Amino acid sequence: MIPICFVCDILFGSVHIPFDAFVDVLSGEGENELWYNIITRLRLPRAVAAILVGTALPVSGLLMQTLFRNPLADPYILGISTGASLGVAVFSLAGGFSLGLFPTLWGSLGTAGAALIGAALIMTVILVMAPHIHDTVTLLIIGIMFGSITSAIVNVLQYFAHPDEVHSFLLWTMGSLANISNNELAIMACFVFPTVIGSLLINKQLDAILLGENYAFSLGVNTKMLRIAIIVLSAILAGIVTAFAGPIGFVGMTIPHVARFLFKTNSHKVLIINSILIGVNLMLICDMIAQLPGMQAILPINTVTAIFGAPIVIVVLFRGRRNAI
Amino acid sequence: MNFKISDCSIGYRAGSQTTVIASDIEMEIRSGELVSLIGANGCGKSTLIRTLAGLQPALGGSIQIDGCNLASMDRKMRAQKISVVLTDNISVPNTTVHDIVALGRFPYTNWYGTLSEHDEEIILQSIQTVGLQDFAYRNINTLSDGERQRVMIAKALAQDTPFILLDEPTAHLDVQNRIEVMNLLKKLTVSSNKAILLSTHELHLALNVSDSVWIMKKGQPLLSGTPRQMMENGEIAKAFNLSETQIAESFRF
Repeated sequence: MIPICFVCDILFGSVHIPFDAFVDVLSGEGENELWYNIITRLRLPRAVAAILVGTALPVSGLLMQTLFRNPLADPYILGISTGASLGVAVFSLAGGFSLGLFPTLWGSLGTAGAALIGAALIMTVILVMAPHIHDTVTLLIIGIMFGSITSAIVNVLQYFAHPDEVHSFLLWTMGSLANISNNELAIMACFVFPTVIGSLLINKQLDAILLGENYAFSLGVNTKMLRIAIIVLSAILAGIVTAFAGPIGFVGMTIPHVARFLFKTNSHKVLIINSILIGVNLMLICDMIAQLPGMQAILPINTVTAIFGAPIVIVVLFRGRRNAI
Repeated sequence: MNFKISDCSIGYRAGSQTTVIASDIEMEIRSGELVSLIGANGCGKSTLIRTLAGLQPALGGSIQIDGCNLASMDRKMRAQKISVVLTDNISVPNTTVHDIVALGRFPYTNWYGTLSEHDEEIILQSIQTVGLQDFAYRNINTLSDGERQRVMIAKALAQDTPFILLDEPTAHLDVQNRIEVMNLLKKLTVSSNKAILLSTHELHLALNVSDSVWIMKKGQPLLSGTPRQMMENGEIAKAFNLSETQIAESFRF
C-alpha cells in the first residue's frame, strides 16, 4: 500500500508525469529535464515529508492518548506546537520577515530553528514540572494553560505585526509539506526514526499504564520514568514535525483511533506499527488531494487533513458514548 | 512467606507537612492466612494498603517480605512478591478479559511482552479460578462490576505472587458477588497457600471467613486477633463506636 501511494503521490499533480518517466528519472536515464526537476526537487521531497509526518504524528498522538488515557489527546496537547508557533511568531513577525530573510534558505531554516527552540522550551518546562505533579489530569491542564499563554503571546505579536508578516505566519500555521529541503528531511528522519523505535521499546510499559499508574506501578513499571519518556518521545515527534511542516492537525489524534477500530486491540506494539502504516498512507493520499491534477494551487495540507480527520473524530465521539477510553 | 510490618507509621507527606494517619504498626502475615482489615470510613485502611503495596512510602519503620525491605526492593522483584486489587476504575476500550489478566505476567515477560506457553497456561488458569472462562475473550466494558472485580483478582493471580492486597474488593457488589468474592479469596489461601490482606466493610463476611482481623481506629494502635477474640472482647463494637448490644443485635439472625 505504501509504495503504491508513494508512487501515485509523485506521479499525480498539476503536471502529469507518466510512470515510465518516473522509473527513468530514478534510474538516472531521464531525458526530460523538466520532469526530472519536478520529481527530484518537488514531488520526491514532498512524498518523503509526507511519510515522515505520517510516521511521527500518529505515534506522538498515540503516546499522549495513552499517557492521559483520553481519546481526544493529540500530539499538541502539552502545548508543544503552540510553543513552536511562538518561536516562529517571534522569528517571523518580530524579525525574520522584516529583514527580508523569507523565503530564502536561511528564512526557512530559521523558521524551523525557531520552532524547535519554542517546542523544546515548552517541553523543558513541562518536564521540570512533571515529577512534582501527581496526577496526569493536572499535567494535562497545565499543558493546555501553556498553550493558552503562548497563543496569547502569538496573538499580541500578530496584533502589532505588519499584515504581510501576519499572512506569512498564517500560511505557516496551515502546514505545508513543500519547501522542505533534502537536508531538512534528513534531520527530520534522524529524529523521527530513533524516537519511533524508542516508543516500540516501551510498548509493554505503555500497555500496563492503561490500567492506571497505580496498577502499572504494582506490576513493576517505573511510572515516573515512563511518564518522562512518553513526554520526551511525543514532544520530539511533535516538535520536529511542527518545525519543518507546521502544526499539522487531526492526523495525530485520529490515526490511533482508526488503528484501534481496525485491529480491535490496545496492544501498543500492534497500534504503533499500524498507526504508522495508516498514517503514512493517509498523509500520502492527503498530499495527493492537496495537489490534485488540474488544480493550479496546492492546498495547505492542514485543510485536507481536517476535511478527512473531522468526520473520523465525529465517528469516534459517537462510538465513544458506549466505549469510552 | 512472611510479611512483617515493624514499628511502621503511615500517612502523607506534602512539602514540609507530614500527616500521620497511624503509627507504631506491628503486624505479621504468613502464607495461607486471610486477613481482613476493618475500620470506619477515613480511618486509613486504604493508606495502609497503599503503603504495603509500595504505592506510597511509609513515614517510618520497616515493611519486610521474607526479610527483604520493601522500600529498597527491586521493582521486578516487588512485582513478583506483591499483587494488588485496587478500587481504581478500569475502562479500557477494545480490551478483553484475557488482555487484562495477561498484564499480570508483566514482571515475567521480556521487553516485547511476549507470552510463552507457560504464561498462557497461567493466564487461562487464573481466569478459570475466578470462574470467568466463558468470558475470556469478552470485552471488559461489557462485564458487570462483579465480573470486572474478578478480572482484577485473576490479574493478581496471574502475577503469581505469594502476597495479595485487596482494597475493598466487595465494594459496589451485590450480596451474591460479595459472598462469592470472599469465598474465592478464602479458597485461594487454602489451595494455593497465598497470604491475602483485604480491607472491607463487610463485617459479617469478614468475621466468617478470615483467619484474623485487623481493626483500625483513628489515633489508636492497630489491633489484631481472630474474629472470635475480637467479637468477644468488644473491639469490633469499639471500632465503629457502637455499643456491644448494638453489635450483638446486628449479628442476631
